[in-house]
Amino acid sequence: MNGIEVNNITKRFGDTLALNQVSLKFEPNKIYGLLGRNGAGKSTLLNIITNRLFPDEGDIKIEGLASVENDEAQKKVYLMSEKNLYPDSMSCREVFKWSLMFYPNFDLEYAKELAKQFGLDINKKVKTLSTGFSSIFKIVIALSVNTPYVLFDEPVLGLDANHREMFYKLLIKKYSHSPFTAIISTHLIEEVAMILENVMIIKNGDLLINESCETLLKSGYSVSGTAKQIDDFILDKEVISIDALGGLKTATIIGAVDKSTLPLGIEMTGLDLQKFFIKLTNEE
Amino acid sequence: MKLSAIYKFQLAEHKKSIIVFYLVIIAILAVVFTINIVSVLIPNQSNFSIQLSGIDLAPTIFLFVCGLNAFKENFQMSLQNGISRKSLFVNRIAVDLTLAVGMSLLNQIILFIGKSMALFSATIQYSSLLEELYGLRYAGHPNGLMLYLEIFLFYIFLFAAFLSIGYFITVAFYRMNKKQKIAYIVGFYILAFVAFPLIDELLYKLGIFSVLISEVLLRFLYAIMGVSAQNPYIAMISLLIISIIMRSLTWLLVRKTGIKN
Repeated sequence: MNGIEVNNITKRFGDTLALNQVSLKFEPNKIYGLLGRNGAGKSTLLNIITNRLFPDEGDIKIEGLASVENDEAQKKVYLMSEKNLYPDSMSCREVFKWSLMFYPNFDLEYAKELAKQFGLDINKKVKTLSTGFSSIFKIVIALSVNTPYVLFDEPVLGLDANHREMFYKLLIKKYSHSPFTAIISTHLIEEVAMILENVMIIKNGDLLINESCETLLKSGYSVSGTAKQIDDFILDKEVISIDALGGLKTATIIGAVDKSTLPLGIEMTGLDLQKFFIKLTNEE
Repeated sequence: MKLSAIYKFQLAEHKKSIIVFYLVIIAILAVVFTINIVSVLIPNQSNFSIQLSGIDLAPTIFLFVCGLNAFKENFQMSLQNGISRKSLFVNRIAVDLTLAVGMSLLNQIILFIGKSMALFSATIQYSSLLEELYGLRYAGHPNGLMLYLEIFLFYIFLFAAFLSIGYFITVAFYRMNKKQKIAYIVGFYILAFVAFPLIDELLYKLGIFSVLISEVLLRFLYAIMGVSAQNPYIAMISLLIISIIMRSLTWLLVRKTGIKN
């Protein structure tokens, strides 16, 4: 059985229900977006997949192998976590060296090349890295580790716009060169939407959406025009957001539309994933 | 492949500190040797003598501290690199056995150097812990092969036991939250250094017990360490039992330990 299968996972932290009977499947060689607000349960799910936390109920299989306490299964997965688990006193260079010991397919030369591209000084100790460079350091390892499944938990934390763009480009380049399963947990939807194939949205421990990005983007649309035009157009429609600027309005609508029925002067664009996400994950 | 990686990683962590530790020991021996030479050269120093005993016990404390520092980083590194708790635990035992055997061997070399110095200099007296504890057994054979063999074996068990105690303490502390840690430290201090001596003295003075509890405990310690029977093999068995108990308790704590934020 290929892929990572998550079956009925429940996890509680005291009175807080972090994950509630979550079931999903990550298929090989796809890029997934695991989206959710802060505290939705994204990191908990990734930590359970990688045996860092134990679920209260349910089980996970990685290519048919039980994930709990199983070195064979875990060697197929790498998690770039928000929290740094590498020894603070080690230099980045030493961590690369040890990564090669733990993951025989780790590409040391590629890691050094990536570090150079990002401007990461690999002689620096892990504890001296800023938040941004700490993320870069972990991104470099994640992109060089060459496991079939690479999980990114908030990968662009603290990164400036240039480095964020560089990361997305390198991820796509790597994926195109040798496909693997990338699971990107983030709440920066707008940026990541372009590279995702599948989207999973978690809210308060429940899986709300598990769809291909294409299907999700087809589930709605945005229209813009004068305030009067938009107000008339949206009367009988499911509107999830309205933005107004001067006399112009933009509305995001759920549902299908026949382009030929659009009134003159109204411009239609694709669904804004971020707005859709905000609507879905709002607490009201 | 991965199992050996975590073994190597854990072992590598001790490399620098072991080198520093033995450099200090060698420095102490060098100072003793220099003082001895100087004392011979200076007249009217005929009564000058240096007694070195139990220097071979120092690695025990060193390894106890090593045990105390051997969990958090290794545990995090294991989880980051897909190593299970079971593999980490099994490899930890292998690392500790390697350290125990290696350090026991180095201890032999230090002991041999110390005894050689004592042999060539009448002003230096050098004896091992085993000679202190089991004096009757080794009386008249300060350089016997049996002594060296038994010291080697004894220290393997002693080092392994202290490593396992240190490791258990650090794992237990990792599992505790801040309040539990404070309660444990304060509670231990009060029990060991205030309540116990007080109760021990009180029960004895009130005539409830005819002998001090501390004395009974000391006799028990002598018995399990084979001092009463002058048999170091009893100590080895006791230390092995302590190691097994500590490792078992540690495993109970490690097997369900999760990552902390």
